[in-house]
Amino acid sequence: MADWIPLTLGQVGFTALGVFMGIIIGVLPGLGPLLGMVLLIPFAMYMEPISGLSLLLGVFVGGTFGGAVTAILLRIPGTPIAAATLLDGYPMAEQGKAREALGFAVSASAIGGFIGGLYLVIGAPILAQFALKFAPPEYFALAFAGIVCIAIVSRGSTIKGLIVGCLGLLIATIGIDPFAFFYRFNLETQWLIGGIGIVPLVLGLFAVSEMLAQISAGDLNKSAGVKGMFLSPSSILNTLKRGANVFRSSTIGTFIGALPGAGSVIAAFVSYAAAKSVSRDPGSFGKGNPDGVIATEASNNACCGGTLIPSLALALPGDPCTAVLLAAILLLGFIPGPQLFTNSPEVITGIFSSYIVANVFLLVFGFLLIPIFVWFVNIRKVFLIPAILVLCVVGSFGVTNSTQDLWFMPIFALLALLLVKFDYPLAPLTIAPVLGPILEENFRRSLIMSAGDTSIFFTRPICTTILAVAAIALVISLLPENALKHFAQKGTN
Amino acid sequence: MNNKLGQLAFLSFLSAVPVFVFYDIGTRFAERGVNTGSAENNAAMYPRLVAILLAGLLTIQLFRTVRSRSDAEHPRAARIGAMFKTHKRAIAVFTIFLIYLWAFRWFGFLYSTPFFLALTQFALGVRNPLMVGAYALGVTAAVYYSFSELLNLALPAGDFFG
Repeated sequence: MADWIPLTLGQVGFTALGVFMGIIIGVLPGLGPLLGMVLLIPFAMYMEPISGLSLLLGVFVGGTFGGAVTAILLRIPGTPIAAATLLDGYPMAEQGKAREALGFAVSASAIGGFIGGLYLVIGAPILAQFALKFAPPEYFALAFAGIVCIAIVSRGSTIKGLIVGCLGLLIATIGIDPFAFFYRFNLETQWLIGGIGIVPLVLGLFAVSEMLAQISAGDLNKSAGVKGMFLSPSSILNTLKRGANVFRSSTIGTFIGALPGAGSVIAAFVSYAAAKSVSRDPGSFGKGNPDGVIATEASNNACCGGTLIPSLALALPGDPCTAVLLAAILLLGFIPGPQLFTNSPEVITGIFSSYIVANVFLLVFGFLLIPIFVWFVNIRKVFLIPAILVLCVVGSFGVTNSTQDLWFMPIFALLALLLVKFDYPLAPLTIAPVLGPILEENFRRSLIMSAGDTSIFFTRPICTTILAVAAIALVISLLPENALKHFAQKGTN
Repeated sequence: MNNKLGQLAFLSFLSAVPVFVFYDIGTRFAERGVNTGSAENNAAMYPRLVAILLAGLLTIQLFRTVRSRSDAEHPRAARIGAMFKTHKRAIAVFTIFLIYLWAFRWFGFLYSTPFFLALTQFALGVRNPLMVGAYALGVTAAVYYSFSELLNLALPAGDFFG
């Protein structure tokens, strides 16, 4: 890879702004880094590319941490990512140690994110170098494995995850065919000729539907009534004293993050379980043990770095946030994937730098500006919801420049409400439209390469291995629970 | 409607997707001759495969739902279910949102947004006209400034006004 180009002052400034806005969005219950990133895409699009990506990465990092504030203070995780943090964070707050808990959360998040960043800087170029040898069959296999993994690990049953994934893949086929000049499934209207953009889709699925769900949940006029506080810098030292926990949790977070679909929530719970299992006092977990807060927060922020590894090196988004980031890279005029490392190394080094710098700002803002973030916790939903709906409309218009495309938002909001009601996961529906074109293009290119012979997917070692791993994972996930227990019992005997 | 019946109804709704895909491939695609041939010219090849997979998965899910004994609902699902049944506020805001999307095109951002914000606040239970007015104008001005002035994004002026 080419020389590392340092960030300009402006790019550093946008990273800081992103972290600041990300924390605010993260502390607001129901909102999270995904929504923050989607709402800021229109801003990012009008900026110089690295500044735009720095802003989005800042939101990604800040938003991932932000949920911990309400998890600790109110026992309400601002984002699902912080669900594991409340296990020990809230009991600490109940014991009058809210400042300490927040201090541990900020320090562990920043240090964990930094460690995740180091893994990213080392791992992504190696993976991209390896991926340069890939041809269309391998890319097809990777995209296929990505969809399968996301469907398997998403909430609910694998079959339901796969159904939603297929739905997403079909949505991605709307519009012009990539090979033949033909408009597919456009209902013979101009409206669908350009396909369905990821921004109105994600805003409808996650933002509009969430606002409607929050309205139905009530408490619209209630303020949380949390008082501001300053954190003690000694928390950083106390976190560093628990270095083994931070390093272990960050490593777990990075590796789980690198698996498509696994995501921060799983990473946080696995790290929590690991910290508990090696602790000398496992009984204190769940009753206010700082190690519980450190494990979950270090892990979920390191997970961001992990998710970026396959996203940047293989254009394989691990979660909806990185799917949005890849969409932003595309909108800014770059093609994500291993070629980006050779064709536009300045973009890659820019992403690496802003990700690491974002974690430094997380630490600084976390300690200096926590009273401001706590103030945002107190904003009443009655003021928040209408403004967010306006931002969704303007944000979507900013990206698509079409008032017709705005109608995708209510359609997908209703679909999201129905999917959630019947316990179908939403994540595959966000990621499939990003992976869909990669899947189709490489599937058809592979068949063109082999003159229509499908054995091409089973005769190339890397492609066959990836497909076999995906198939095995799929079969295991589809086995009934009692069959798995039976096999486990047999193995133990 | 109990959960099982709801699940079955939703599955039938989803099954319309592969049916539509097969129908479009059989009619429009066939008319243009892009439903067969090599991978390069066959625009139907990939969507057909995905639709077959989806149809298969929906069938499996149908059997699983019919055979399942449990009728318990996921807590979040129950919350959404309650919204469909009882929460008039969410339905009112959704309706106002749809009107806003329509008005956004015809009346433009500056005329439609304050009304949307005010109406939504009213639907959410805010009754103080001064607060509603200040909020509606304040948010509109802030969003307009951010997008129009900072980003140079031309927000719709309204088709009614040319």
